[in-house]
Amino acid sequence: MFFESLVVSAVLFAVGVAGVLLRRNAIVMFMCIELMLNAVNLSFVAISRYVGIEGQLFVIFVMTVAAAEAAVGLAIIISIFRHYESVDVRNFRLLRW
Amino acid sequence: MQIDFSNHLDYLWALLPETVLTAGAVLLLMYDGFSRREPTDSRAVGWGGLVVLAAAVVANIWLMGVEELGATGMVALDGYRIFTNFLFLGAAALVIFISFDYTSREGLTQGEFYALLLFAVVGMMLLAGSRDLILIFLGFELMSVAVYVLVGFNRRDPRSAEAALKYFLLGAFSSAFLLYGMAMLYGASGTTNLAEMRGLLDGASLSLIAMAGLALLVIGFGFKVSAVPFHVWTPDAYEGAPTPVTAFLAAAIKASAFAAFIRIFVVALGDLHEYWERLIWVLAALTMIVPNLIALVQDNIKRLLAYSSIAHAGYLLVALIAANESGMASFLFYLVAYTAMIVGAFAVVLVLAGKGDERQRLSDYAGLGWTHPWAAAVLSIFLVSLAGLPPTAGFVGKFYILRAAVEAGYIILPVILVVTTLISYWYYLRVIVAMYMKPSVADMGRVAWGGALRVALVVCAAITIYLGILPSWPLLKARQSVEGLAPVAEQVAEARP
Repeated sequence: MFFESLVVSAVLFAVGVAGVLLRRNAIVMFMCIELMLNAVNLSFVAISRYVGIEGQLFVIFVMTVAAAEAAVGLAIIISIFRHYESVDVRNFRLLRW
Repeated sequence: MQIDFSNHLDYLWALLPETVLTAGAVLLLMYDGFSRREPTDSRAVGWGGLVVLAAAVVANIWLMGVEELGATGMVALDGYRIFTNFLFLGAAALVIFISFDYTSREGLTQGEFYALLLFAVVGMMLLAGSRDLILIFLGFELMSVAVYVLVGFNRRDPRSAEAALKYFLLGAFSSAFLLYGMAMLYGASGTTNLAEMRGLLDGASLSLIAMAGLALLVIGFGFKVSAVPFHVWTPDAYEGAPTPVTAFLAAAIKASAFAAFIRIFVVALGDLHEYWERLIWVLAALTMIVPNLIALVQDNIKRLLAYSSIAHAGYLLVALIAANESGMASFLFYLVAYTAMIVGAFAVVLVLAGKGDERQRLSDYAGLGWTHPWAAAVLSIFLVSLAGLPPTAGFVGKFYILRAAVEAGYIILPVILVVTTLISYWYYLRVIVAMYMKPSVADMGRVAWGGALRVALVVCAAITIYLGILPSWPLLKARQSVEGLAPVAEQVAEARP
């Protein structure tokens, strides 16, 4: 089970990375980042079954941090939507990428 | 006083500077919430922030007399932490000093600005001072979440919102890599404590999981310290952010990410030096070459300084690779010098830009040496120091990094450092030439210099010149601060053929 859960977690992480790199909608990119964080959480839980409780503690902290990050991130997306009426990162041209 | 980490109440004492800062920041936030929110209230919050920083400095001085039993607590109580704490507190104080002018000019009179700065400093201090992966991650996020808001603080400016979005997306993206790396290291060693991890990871037969963890950590930290090729967000975030926040990003945030980088790689993974050395060697070489070439064609002064700060990350990476005691001492020394000069440079740029940040092009600086001689002179000091010419802090700092790298047996890396430094003279001197040898195109008129900003400029210039002329005492302090990490360095030296 240990190996399988690590593989699942790696696949989920890769899906998240691909999403961030390929999608151009800010909200979808943000969701993919959340997917990456949760993929890591899966790894932590799987590992902590064999080596100790710290991994599960870590997961609790990661979830808390992700919630705080979501609050700030969505606020930033709203503030940029007010300027451009769009959340597509291809439309943001004031600063060169 | 002695700290025994088996007694959980002692954590409160070990974290006293952080506790003071957090309590102060929360009180300031409350004051701001109940005030009438006029410009004077925002200024009061700013001065309150300086008082809180001073209280944290006192707590940090108290911490110097504290001893710990064993060296495995989640919070480190070594000279390294105390030195970096002073650095972050000082950098934050300088940034508050330079932001009074900017916030009143641009109408950013919300007092949260200063409270958020303090929260970011708490995150940095946790980051540089902890010996546990959980705390390091929390410190990173505490810092980053506050700074995402600061970058987008000027909500009326689309550039600021855009910079915040880019910084946020790439910051969160890199955090995920960092976290995955931490998970892999945890899986390979079975602990999140850096001091224990050192004994549990065997350099002779490293598991695949641990190697994957190393690589992921390098990627994550590469984003955080903006090493090439993970630097794409840096110029945009630096250009769009409010200028005091840019100074904060370039100085304190980069310094804290580097401090954690060293804490994890040199302290916990010091025995694995041969594994991560190659990776970071390539990063360092690229980070020195690429931004110095791109900066040659930059026309916007904030962007130029952003590329310059990326290049400086490359020089700091050389000190990290050296991983010996003089490498770490020169690293701390360079951080102090770099903070003073980059904050000073951004402070001058901030004032000269004028309302709405209109004047940021290099052509706006033409003839400045004759119309605004003081501004041009001070900016020249910082640019000369960033370029690394004697008799300034930048020269001494680079010299010590070179020496540390040569001591550790590297040849090509120091050569790259010297050559890229020579290339970088071109774009720093281009600004100085524009200021002194070209006729003024459009007159800037009178520029308003606030009293607090003048103080910050004088302090930055004094540090830049003092470190350039009398570097021995600061360097001695830096060396003493890394003594706690010394056994690590010796082992690394023995492991190298």
